[in-house]
Amino acid sequence: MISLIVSLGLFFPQDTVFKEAAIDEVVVSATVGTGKKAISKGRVASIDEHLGQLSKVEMVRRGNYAWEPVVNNMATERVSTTIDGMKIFYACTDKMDPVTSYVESSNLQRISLNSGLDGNPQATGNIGGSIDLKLCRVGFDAKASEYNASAGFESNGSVQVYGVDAAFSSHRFYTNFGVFYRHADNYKAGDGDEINFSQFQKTNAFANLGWQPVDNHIVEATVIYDIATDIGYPALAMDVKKAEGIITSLSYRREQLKGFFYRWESKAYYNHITHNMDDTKRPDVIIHMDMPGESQTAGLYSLLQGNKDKHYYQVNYDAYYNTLFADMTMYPDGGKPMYMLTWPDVGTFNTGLALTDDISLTPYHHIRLSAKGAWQHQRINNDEGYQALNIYFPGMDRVNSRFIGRIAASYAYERSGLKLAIGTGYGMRAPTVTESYGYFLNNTFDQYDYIGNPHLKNEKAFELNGAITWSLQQLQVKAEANAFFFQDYIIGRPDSRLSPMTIGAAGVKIYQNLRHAEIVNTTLSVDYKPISSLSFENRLTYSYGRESTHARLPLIAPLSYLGNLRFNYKNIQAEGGVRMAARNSHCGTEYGETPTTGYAVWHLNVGGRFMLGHVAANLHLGVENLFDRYYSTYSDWNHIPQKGRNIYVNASFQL
Amino acid sequence: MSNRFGTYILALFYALVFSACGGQDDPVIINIPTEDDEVCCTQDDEQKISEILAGYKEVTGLSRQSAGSYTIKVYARNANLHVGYNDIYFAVEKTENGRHVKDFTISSLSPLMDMGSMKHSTPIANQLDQVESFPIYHTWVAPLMAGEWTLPFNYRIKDLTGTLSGSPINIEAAPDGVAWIKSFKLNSATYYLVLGSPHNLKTGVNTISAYISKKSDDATQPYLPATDVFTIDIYPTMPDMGNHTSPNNEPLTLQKDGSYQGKLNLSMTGVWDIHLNVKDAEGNNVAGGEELSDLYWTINI
Repeated sequence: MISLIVSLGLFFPQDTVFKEAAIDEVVVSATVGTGKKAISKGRVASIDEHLGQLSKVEMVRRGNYAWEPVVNNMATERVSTTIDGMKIFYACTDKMDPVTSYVESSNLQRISLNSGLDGNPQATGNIGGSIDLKLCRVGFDAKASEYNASAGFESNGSVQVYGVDAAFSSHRFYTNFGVFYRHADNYKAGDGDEINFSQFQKTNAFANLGWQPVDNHIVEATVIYDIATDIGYPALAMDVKKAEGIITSLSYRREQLKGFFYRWESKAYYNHITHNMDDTKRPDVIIHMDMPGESQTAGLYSLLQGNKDKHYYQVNYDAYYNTLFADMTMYPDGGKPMYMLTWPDVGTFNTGLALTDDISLTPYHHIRLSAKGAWQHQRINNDEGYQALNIYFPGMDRVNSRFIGRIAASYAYERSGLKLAIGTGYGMRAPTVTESYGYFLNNTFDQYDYIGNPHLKNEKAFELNGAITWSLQQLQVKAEANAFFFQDYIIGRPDSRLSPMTIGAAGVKIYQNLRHAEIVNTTLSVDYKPISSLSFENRLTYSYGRESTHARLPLIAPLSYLGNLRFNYKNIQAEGGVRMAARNSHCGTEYGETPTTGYAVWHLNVGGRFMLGHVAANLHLGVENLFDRYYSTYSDWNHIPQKGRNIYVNASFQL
Repeated sequence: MSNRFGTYILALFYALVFSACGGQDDPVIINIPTEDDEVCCTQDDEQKISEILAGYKEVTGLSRQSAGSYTIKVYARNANLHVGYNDIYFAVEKTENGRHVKDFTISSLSPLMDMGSMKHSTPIANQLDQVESFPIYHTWVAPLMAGEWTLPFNYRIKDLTGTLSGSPINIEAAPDGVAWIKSFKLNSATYYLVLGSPHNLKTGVNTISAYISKKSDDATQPYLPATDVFTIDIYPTMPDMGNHTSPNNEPLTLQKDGSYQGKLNLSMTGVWDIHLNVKDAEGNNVAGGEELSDLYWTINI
């Protein structure tokens, strides 16, 4: 029984008050009524919809697929995303493929978010936060066999989702595997207008294997293959023909060790992403172009976990090598093709050591400490790309080495209905490949071509966070805030000397270190539970971002409110709610952002779990954007409108 | 049979000599004496010469002309020269054994196009330069137009002198769309702006050379580099990309060898127009102009 718990549960003891201010999780492959956040669409919801449930996460939409998670108002550059601790990097120079687009809900058990600098052990460069996608492994000694099938349909865009998976488990062996398919046509905005190029299609297959030749000696393997084709990006000038990812890992784990550590896990992994953009279906293409990208990552980590007295500690060593290659060939009418490297085959080797310690001083006082140091070495492997960058940075080095690190400490107090958590951290991140070596990457947000800057310094940030929660019998009030004070904040600034490459572009921006910048996020939540079957949740958030020239930072969320009325009765759950945002009048106009108007969007859903003989069925029915409102959020790229009214129904069956 | 046996004996002898030397690295070089040992090169030199000339082809109609017991070979990037700048290399071989000769000079290259009603020459270098210390001489010629040309020259090989005119050579047109030679007029004289080595341009920072040749008063005489001093500002743009340009280009200035050198930055492959602004020694504009001037070379990389 103990081994069952250990094998199934990757739930560490810190999933308690420790990280009240810092951790948030969404359960992906869960059935209705499991305490933690679960989305009403259940198993057929997309990863993006699951991520949107996390309280500090917003999604940047460039289309109806592959949304980019933004944590604490910081996007990919400042957020670490790992899949079960594995590093993976996107392959599109235009961020059309955040790494979360290469997995599917059925692959995952849960998504875990660490806010701010207190990252998960494998995370590096996580100033805004770190997201870890926990894979769904059935584990040993679970149900001998289990079969799942799910299907979903959405009226807006004729979305169809089908998935099947199976799991087999014994004391020595387990496996679970499945396939998932998703198809969407163009969706309609609130006024009934069809949004062209918003279609997509995706197939995902996965398999997990576990073998325990001797008790507590565990070998596990994972393979995920994900392919999306014919993906439209209405906010961008191009679509995607194919985005393909292969994710593999092999790990060895020891459980129930005696002594200082009780668990030791070592994993080796490899993933490979290819991404091909496509402009052949667009009208009015001035110059047709091919823009493929490729990302390969191989790495390993070794994690020791232990507890002794009041301490629960983790030691993690990790290393990875990643290469990013992207090029562009343009075909002018009747002219000779033009070619350049947009990512000059940059090899990045990174290796680091992370330590965390959770200390329970007394039942009421808890302290958490975490630190990580990493060394990174980068090299431009492609000569032509190096020569091209030399035009802009004469005499630049072909290699770059740097040290990055982070340290965080937090304190939590909990007693009779009062919870208090405060934390602080200091850390830095290395510039991304785009920021260091990107070459004429057109950004449709501000219409500038971006060139990387190989002379960038590390970006540093100092974080303060705090949360206070009062729980009365029927009422819970939580006030939460965090603030990030940046030094050498990395952002693109116009260089009027330079001539853009993209026809019609406003100019060229070069990534620069700004002297300082600040981002502040605040949330007030009030939950009211008059009777046990009814709850009324409210969340009000406000954020602020400014840099050293006093300009507002772009893509900072405006004042917004989320209200949900939830009803639970036996196996039935119903919810009605509203999402509201004020006009983001303080947007980053300096950075090409224009204000979006305020909106209020309503939703309703009802779901339940029923037994049909031996089969457990989950049924969900809901409507999003109930009043068919035409709107776009601040994070809808180029203000592409959100979906209009959308009625969905889905069902999943478990045997 | 006995011959082969002799070879084996020799091999054995060498083996003994070498093993006796016990690790000494000096190779035993045996020069086979010939009647004119002093004009031929060592095996090492021959090896280097073939390395230098590898990748070049003999120019049809110009190469393999005989002078006494010698053969003059002329090499270029292709068997036919083309409109615009061409590197050419001269070498002299002893006809009977194909070994290179050290002591020779080539002079007075006089390209000529005979169009019936008129004849004219074209820009050409005013000298030939030895390639390192090897018996190879480099020069360049930049035919103004495609068609049949003659390229006579004088030679001296040891004590033997003479003139060779060869058979007419065929000059090919430059690739479609490129323009490697441009001209301007100054004080009623015509000057040609010749872009050097256009095939060597690539993405990145290019150190480029160019020549300013002056049309001879007698148009049938070679157009040698002008004695005036100029500066050429360059402004490269991509016409297919809305005249995208690159930064940090450096003007072409006169070098000791008579060429003009500067830095040309090409941010990607494709068609580039290199707009020119020619200034005299005092900095007065004499041809072309600022930025998108209508005087420009067109290259295709």
